[in-house]
Amino acid sequence: MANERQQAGIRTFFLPMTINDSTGNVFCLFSQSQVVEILGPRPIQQIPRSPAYLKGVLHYHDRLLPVISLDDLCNRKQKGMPERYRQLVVIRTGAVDLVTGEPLKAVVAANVRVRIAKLSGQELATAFVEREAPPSLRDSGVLRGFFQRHADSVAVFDLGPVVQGTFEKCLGEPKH
Amino acid sequence: MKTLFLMQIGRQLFAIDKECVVGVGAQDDGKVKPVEENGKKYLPLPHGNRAVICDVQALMTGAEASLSSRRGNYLIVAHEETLMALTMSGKGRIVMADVAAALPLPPAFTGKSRDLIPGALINCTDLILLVDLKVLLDSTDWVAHHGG
Repeated sequence: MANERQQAGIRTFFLPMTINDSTGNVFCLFSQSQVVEILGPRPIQQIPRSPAYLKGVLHYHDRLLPVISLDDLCNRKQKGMPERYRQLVVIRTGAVDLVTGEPLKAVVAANVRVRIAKLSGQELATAFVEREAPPSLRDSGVLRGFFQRHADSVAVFDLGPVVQGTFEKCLGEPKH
Repeated sequence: MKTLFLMQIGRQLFAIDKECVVGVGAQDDGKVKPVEENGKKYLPLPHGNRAVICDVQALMTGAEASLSSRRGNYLIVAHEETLMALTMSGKGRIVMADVAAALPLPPAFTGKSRDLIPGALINCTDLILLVDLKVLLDSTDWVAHHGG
């Protein structure tokens, strides 16, 4: 059964990003198990005095979810980007609330439509070649992997520290 | 249940304890012009009082909108001995709400943003942000240094 599914392909989501110090196309990769839902544009409630990469909150199934802009998170020296989103991707971050222990979801804002591709197990194993990330991604504090796939670059992020609220503290501490 | 004053800023709704509200004044009233002192803007009030102007929009965008370009109102609120004039669209309205049902912000929001917005009320598709006036007053210093 699992083998059949692997042959049919694993659905992967590629969120186009704008990275200042990268000339090629950069996508953020989300797996099928990470993506809960892709929503169309809707009003986001901005929260005063929050960092530029936190665009606000979205009311989703009786919960408030943080809306994150990966572009602003990775281009932190630049002032917040204009807030016009084509799609909002609700994701499972894999992190839990440090107080309640509940799994934390987040919404990632996409300025351009998310691309969906079905990749075979073989392609996942061979088509992604690890390469050095541009400084803005490397220094973002959330990058977990950076790969070349055909002509595109693919970044994998861990948004756990962002949704747990420990991200700013982690950035402030000296790197070992 | 608590009586709250609901104000609209941009397309967002904010709620303030009704007991803190002193009054509402028009922003485009040519008779009263804001005065600037030490980077802060003040709205002159009757009897020699003045209220520090707090642009909540600037707290969200980091950039102050031109006071003269807006056709809104000031919501005058009192916190302890200090008066604040909050810029808002429309005249606002009074509502009753169960503040105990307010949802906290997600843990991603920390520090001043969390202190400023202790919770959010859900009313159908609307989200109403509860505002802590003390933190908002402290934020006027932040706006004076970072905003506009």
